[in-house]
Amino acid sequence: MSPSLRSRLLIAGMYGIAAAALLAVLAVKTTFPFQWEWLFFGVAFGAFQSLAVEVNDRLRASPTVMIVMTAAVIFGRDSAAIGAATIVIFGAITPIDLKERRWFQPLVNAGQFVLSAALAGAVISVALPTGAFETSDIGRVALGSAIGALLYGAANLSLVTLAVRTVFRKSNLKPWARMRSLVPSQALMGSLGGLLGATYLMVGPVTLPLIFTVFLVGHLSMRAVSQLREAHESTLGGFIKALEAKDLYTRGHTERVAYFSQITAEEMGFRGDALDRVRIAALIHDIGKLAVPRTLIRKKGPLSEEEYQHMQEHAHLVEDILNEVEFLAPMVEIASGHHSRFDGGGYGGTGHRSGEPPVLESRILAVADAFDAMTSTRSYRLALTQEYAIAELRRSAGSQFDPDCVEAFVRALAATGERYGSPSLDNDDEARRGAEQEAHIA
Amino acid sequence: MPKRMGRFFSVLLWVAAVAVGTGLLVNSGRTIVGISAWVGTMALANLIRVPSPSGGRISLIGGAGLVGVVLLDSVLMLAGVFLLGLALARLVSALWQSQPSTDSDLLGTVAGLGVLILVEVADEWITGSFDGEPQWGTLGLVLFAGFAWFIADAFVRILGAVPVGKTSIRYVWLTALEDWPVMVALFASAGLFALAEPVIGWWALPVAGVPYAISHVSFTLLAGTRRTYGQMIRALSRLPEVAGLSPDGHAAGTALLASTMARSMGMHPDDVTRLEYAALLHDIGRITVEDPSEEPEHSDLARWGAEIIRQAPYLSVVADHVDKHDDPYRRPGEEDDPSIGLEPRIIKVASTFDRANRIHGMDAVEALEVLHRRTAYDFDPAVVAQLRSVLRRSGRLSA
Repeated sequence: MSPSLRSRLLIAGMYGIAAAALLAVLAVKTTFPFQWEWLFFGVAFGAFQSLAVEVNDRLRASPTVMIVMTAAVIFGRDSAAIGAATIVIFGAITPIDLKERRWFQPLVNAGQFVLSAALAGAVISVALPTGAFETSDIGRVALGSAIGALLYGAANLSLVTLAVRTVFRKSNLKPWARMRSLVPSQALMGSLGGLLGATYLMVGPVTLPLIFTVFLVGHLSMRAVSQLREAHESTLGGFIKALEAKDLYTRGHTERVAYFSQITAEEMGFRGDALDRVRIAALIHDIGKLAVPRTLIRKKGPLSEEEYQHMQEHAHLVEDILNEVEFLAPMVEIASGHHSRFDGGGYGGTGHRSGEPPVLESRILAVADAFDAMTSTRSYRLALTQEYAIAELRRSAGSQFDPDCVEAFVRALAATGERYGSPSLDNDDEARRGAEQEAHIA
Repeated sequence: MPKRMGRFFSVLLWVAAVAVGTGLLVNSGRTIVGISAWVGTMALANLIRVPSPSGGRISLIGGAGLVGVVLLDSVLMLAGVFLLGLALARLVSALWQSQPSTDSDLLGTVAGLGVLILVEVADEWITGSFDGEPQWGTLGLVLFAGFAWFIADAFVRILGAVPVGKTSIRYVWLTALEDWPVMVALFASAGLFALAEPVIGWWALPVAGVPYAISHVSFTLLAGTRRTYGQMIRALSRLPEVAGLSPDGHAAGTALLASTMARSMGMHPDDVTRLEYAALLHDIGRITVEDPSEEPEHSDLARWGAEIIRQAPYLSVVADHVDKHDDPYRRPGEEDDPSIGLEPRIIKVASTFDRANRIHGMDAVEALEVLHRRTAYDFDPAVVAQLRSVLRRSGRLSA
């Protein structure tokens, strides 16, 4: 049995047994809600779970926590925990799981959902009245639902993190940093769920189709936003990839620089939109070259002063155009600043302030760009080894590169276990001299 | 209508709205505070506008009106608060934004009032049909009001846009249809408030308001993301111009002409957007040119351009348009080629016209003449005729 399969079985077994045991205890101690609402909320949970939108940094957003809290309030004090813990099973398995015959993900999902929802249901049952629901109970239920929703989110996130750490051996996950950004939306959704449950109890089932319609429409729009955001990135990336494909020596450069920048930024604590900004800035860091004659880009050997000026003028013009795109303006500044040195010298783009270091994101990008330039074969020299490139980055740390960024990059690269550049140390002195000139131009 | 007359007319209408609205509310039996709250709500709903998927902005007045239909006592009271609310909103926007009212605003006001009166009249009949279940009757009323408002809104848009002559009725109707999600979110939230308020009081505000606010944010984000995506395509389309490989403004000029033609032909709004992107990017293949002094084959440029665009999966249809935009629509001895869609034909006509105009300095008549001479194979005569009609309506060509 492979270590990966063993750890999967361990996690799936642990979560499955814990969830089953908890459900058994709840079945004995509480009352199962035998009512049509149980099926309605189960199906709604499953539907919204499969519609979840990836917001950024692999965080998925859906109003499922609201559904859990609404259902828990409607099921009442005696059935809130077991009702909430069972409707979530509808969301454990997705159409992709069925199609690809996955067993691990649905089992882990079912376990984590049941445990988290039972916790949330138990919290809200304390806030619910023992007798008939009154208007005076609404405030307490809304508060209880907000707390329940926060605990639901925290438990979910902890269980996912534990599973990913155990199975995929990823040690750089920081669940609590992520949870901070989720707190307001989680509390708002939970509180709204509680209010909706209260409205249902006092007004009647007629309110449900209306609120779910509003949510569905809002959620679908959010999904469209997410798809369009992806389109932004894939359009930029696609254009650059297509142009690089025509040039043997720069093929894949932008994608690799984007990847190196992303792992370095993650290592330095960037998350969410900030991380996206670094990645997209890396994607466009060479876009100015698109408007430079190909003969100049493919020229063998270093550029003359005049050619260099010509290239920079075009790059500036492209920067000006991209600056007009609201979405890209911050990234253009980062991309432009990566030409500057840490000690404040170097070529000045819009992101450059003479005598001052460029912004941190630009410093990350500079390291990633230089590393890829050194470990790739160019028209005038072979690729250098990873060790040589890292030694060069360290040698220039403090002058050309930010030492913190260099060390973060080295740590992040080591954590991936990947290797770049030439596998042998046979590079000749000429290649080394070429690399020094190249690094100087970059 | 002269500007001064228009302003006088606006003021007159405003005074009339205030007078009629006040008159309707004099004997309503409600307190000044109660009436003020309703008028303020109507005004606020009229001032808040949500960006719609079609690119316009929709005010929340329809939703506020629906709440009024359910919660107010009579049709007269509803009409009174509606008119006074609109008058207050107009006053606020005139003081803060100095936006003069337009004919289409007036039409919208009259249509909106008409729909609300219709819904108020239908209220008794619809809720009466759900004997013993008044809440389900209210739900039926919400559906009816949303549908009626939607139809009235489309009608107002058609009356406002079509006589100007730049677009077709079909295009305006299809654009209005794109906005159904906003209407659904607005009327469902309003219905929810109207149902919940009598039972749970002011708690109904977060119950209905928060889901609507989330939808509002989603629509705003969607509109903003669409706008920036369009900006990015425009920026990318300028790369060949910056590199000196295409005349300045050619991509934008072609796109403007192509999209105007498409709108006047009644194409679907999504197809118009894709056509606009394709027209903007039709020359992007030029950035792969090795030597700027050489002019490669146009069909090669189209293929290279399509190759670049195809790398972005979201733009695969756009890539197809660019790929075919330089092909002849028929070849000697053959029938009209069905594989060359309408969009590539429009781009070819628009691009050639813009080049003749922009590079060769021809006026509209001379440039059209170039197109006419090559209608046998290169340019679809129906598309050229459409261009002539667009140029006439825009005043670039005399009748």
